[in-house]
Amino acid sequence: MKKLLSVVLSIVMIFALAACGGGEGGNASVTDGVSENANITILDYAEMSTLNPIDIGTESDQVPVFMLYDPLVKLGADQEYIWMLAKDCDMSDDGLEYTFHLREGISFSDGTPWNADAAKANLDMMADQSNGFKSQFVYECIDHVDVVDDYTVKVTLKYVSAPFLNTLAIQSAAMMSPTLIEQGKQAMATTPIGTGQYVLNERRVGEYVKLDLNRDWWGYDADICGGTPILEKDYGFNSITIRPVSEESTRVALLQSGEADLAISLTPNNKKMLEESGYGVVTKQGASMSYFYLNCQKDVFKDIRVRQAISMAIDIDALNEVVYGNEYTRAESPLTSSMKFFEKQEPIEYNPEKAKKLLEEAGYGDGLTLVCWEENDTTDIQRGEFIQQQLEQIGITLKIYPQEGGFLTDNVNAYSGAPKDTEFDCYIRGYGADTIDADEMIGRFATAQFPPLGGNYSFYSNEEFDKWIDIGGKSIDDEVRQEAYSKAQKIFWDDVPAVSLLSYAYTAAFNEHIDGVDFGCAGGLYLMNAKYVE
Amino acid sequence: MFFKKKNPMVTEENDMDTRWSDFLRNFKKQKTAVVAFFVLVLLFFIAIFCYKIAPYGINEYNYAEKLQGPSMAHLFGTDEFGRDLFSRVLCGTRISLSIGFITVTIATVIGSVIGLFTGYYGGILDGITMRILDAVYAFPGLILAIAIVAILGPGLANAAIAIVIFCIPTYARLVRSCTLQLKNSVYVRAAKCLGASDLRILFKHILPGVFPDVIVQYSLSVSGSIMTTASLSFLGMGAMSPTPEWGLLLSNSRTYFYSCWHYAVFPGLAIVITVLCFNLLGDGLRMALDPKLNDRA
Repeated sequence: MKKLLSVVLSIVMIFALAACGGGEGGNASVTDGVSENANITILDYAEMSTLNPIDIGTESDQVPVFMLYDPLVKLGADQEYIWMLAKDCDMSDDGLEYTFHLREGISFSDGTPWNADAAKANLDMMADQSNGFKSQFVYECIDHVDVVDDYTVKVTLKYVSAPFLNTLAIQSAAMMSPTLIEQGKQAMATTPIGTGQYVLNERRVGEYVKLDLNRDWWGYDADICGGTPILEKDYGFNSITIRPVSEESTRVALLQSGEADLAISLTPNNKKMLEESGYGVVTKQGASMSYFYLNCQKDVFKDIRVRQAISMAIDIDALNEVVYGNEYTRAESPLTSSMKFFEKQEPIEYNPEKAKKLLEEAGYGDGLTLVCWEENDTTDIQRGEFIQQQLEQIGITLKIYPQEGGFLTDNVNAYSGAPKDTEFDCYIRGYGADTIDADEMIGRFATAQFPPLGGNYSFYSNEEFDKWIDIGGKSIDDEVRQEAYSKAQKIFWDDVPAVSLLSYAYTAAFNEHIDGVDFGCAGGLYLMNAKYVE
Repeated sequence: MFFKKKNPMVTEENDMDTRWSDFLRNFKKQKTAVVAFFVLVLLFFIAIFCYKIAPYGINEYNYAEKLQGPSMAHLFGTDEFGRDLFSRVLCGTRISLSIGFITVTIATVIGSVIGLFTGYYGGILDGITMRILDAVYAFPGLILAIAIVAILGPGLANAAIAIVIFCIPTYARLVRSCTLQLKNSVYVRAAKCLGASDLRILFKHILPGVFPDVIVQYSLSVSGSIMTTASLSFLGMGAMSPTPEWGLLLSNSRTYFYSCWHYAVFPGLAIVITVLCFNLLGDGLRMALDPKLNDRA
């Protein structure tokens, strides 16, 4: 008996010692920075269309931007400012002049130093609306940029713009090397040169984008960062491969087979299944919402009764339950509840009978056929089918054409023809306000924001609404803005240029090798605080 | 040597009768083909009466009962919107069978006419037409269909057009080669000597000779056509939701592959059974009709 006990004890001790040894070994490699084995594969649901930060149009385009590039300032996961390439910023009292003090000792991956000239080259390009990049309309307010000294740059605005600092914290404000800007649009889209934590290894269109760690990244250097580095040396990955896989079940299978380490955009069913089998899962409400846009320039939607009928005929709570397993949140305003100036509106009652009556009054009692475009992601198709079923009840036949995301972006976001001639009558898609500001989320429904200039996919035009948007966007006084956006939300809600459906929850599942996965406040994958676990 | 027929005086009518009874006798020997034939007859009845048999409407959703497994109330379970899968698979029969038959029939008629004329007249018309068809034939069927749908836009009707286009060369080539063979046969030359017109020779004398080969090819093509329709729908280029097309059902089921086995299995089985039966029937017909493969030398 004693013998047995001693054997058991010695086995226990051996294991305990082995465990300690393992722990120490792990710590030792940590101090040397990111391990050579820290290679991960991320599965996105769509292919990125460009690597040019200012030209991004979809969520997938955003994924690699903050890995390759750094902005002046970043928004943290809790909407706080993290100063990146700038140390800080002074704003003049009238809100028209922003002076940025830049960090010193940073250079781009091609060796070009980061200084006031580089910042000016970027800001000038962003402000020059004649370039025609998809995301640059938010920088329309920049009047001119002055170099004060080597590491100070002053931006003067045409008018007061409340969300200006937030617009500099989004992906499209990533700072590129001046030499890259000189090389032109083609180079910007294919050969990124930034100051980021990673550098491009290889991109194969339709297959993958592979990024390698930049071990000399300034963010690891305590001196450049003024005492504490942005990240400790062990954060990050030796390489990141981003693969587009549009089929959700394939993403799940690749994650399970170990071919990938992280997959985003999962249905509740599969998320639950992965969680139960031991995978890490993150769900976060973002600043994105899905809308059912109705093209207000089409004759049929000029009649407000038709728009109201549609808004009454969709049971949004059931949509949330059936397609999203109740993980999303029903829209209570065109803004998401996480946004400043959000004001809860009277919920639109689900009432198919009343909707039918409204349609009859409008002269569409015999039925109506509408063409609808949407994205071809699995759940997006289900969402479309659900809305199709709901509208069927009030005699509306919805002809849905699911299309690839990049294609939709080119054909809708960049639509430049006459608003009433669009091939679609309605359009279902989510919109994420990266700046998390009301000016972007609801301000895009102003008349001046028709595609391709902005995100007014409803081609909504209402003078009263435009007036409040203008007041709200050009003030830095929160009280004035509160009133303006409160009025604007009310008008939007009553006028229904688009039915606000659900505000998104973003989901990702990942295996045991990754720690610290998060989503940014606007919804994009946020891997800054992530690291590899052996 | 060939004294199988008791009556040496062979008139046209009793020749047809003998041929028919020969065919039946030979066909009955193909047991699997006979079974396949009866399954197909059953499928036809389902296709005709599907909306009467189906216990639920195809778009009758019930969100409270979504993604349920098979039960007495829902024989095949329910889909993501709580629709009865049994009713949807049943009604899908009509879509698949009608697409299969309509496309192949049109392709057979067009292909046979092209084959008859090019084979009979030959010359430059033959050269040009057949080279064009060869070019079409060079593409794998599904790839060509995808290309055509990409031009015409997705939808069941466009998928059907694509299938017709890629089926035509098969029939044209088949009929042309038979025509080339038959136009020098004794009876055709005899008809010519008696002063029969070209059209009469083509449709009265040559076409019946081509028929057995066309029928065999026909039953094989129907299964191919059903498969292609399902494939196109699966890839999002054929039927659009909420049509209960089998390929589309299968495509929708992919998301629930890990949690709801029934959703993928039943539409898949429906495709397998139908296609298998057409192929078995086609094989049986070939055995029964081909003089080289049976004892009717």
